[in-house]
Amino acid sequence: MIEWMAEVGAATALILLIASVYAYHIQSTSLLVVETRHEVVRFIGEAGLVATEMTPGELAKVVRVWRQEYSQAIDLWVQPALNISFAETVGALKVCALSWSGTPLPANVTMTRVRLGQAEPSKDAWSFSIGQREVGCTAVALQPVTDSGLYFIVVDTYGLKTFRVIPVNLEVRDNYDPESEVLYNSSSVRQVYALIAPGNLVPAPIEPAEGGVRVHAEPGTVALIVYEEEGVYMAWRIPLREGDGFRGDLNKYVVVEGYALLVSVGAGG
Amino acid sequence: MRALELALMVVVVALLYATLSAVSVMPKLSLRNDYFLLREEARSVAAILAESRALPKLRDPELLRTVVGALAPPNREFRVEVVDVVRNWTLTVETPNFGDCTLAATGVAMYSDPRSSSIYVVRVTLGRITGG
Repeated sequence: MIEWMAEVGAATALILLIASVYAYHIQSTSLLVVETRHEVVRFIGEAGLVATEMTPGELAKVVRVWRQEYSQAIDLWVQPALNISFAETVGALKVCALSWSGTPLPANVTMTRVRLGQAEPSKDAWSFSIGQREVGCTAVALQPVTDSGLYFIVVDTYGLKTFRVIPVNLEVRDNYDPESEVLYNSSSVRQVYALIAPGNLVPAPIEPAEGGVRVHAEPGTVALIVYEEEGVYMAWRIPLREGDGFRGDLNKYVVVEGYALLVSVGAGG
Repeated sequence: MRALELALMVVVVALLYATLSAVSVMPKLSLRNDYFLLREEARSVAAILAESRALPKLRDPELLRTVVGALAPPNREFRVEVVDVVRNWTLTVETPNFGDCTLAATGVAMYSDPRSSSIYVVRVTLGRITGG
């Protein structure tokens, strides 16, 4: 009897020992790696990021899915396809356009300066080629915007078009839904202008809608300039989430209404 | 007693099977995820080359290498093949270490150029050198 019990005890101890070793091994290594990656892959599938060409509504859905379900687990950036930097110097504005890996590429740049007056905006536009003075950069002799306004920079390299909008003393809101075309939480809208490449500012028709006003923006509109009774602000139509280049596990280009954007997704939170 | 010994043997064999499965399946799962991400990146670079309408201009190997190198994410080796289907012309460039890649994925895109009546197929393969 004692011999039998001893054998059962030894066998049980052996099984527990083996099981604990394997459990520790599985828990500490492989499963963690697979699980972390899995979250990014799951997000790509759920948000529809497998597409390489998107509408602004589909891109907005990607951002919405990330914000609602994945913002704690992974990071998301939506940036221009090229690294467009902008600096104000004394008497001049310097614009640089490089790839995110730092390679200078020949490019045509259109920069539009928009001044937002009390009643309606006014604009000045310049077109020039990158690389005339410095590699990947050029400088334009003009005075910067001091009151409310924005710079709209469109870069075209080998037909690859991308943009950056730099607001100056201007409120930026994220209250436009490109799918329903409704500008939410805006009841006292007087006029809306659509910002379209290369440097156009086009009045957009508006009509009352549930929750706000419906704005019929033309294809290619990147942002809306909204004049309300209380003031003026900018709302994204093609939502960007600024970053500083290649980041995360996936760095993928998508084309939204002719604009090339870089979408980066990675573990973070 | 025999039954207990038999049960013990079954448990040990089951654990051995589970371990071997885990060792072989988990890297595959991880690899599948990596492959999926690489394939998405390769598809997007191919699509953007086609979308940019730059292919008729990129007939110089060094220029093609520069442009694709500028667009490719860091730590990715690449091979790009541009085929003019109408004229039966092919241009292939790759990074020096592309042959050392342990994981690679390919994306294909097509572009029709109405001005030159050409049809281009661009095949972008992005690869990574993994492991030690």
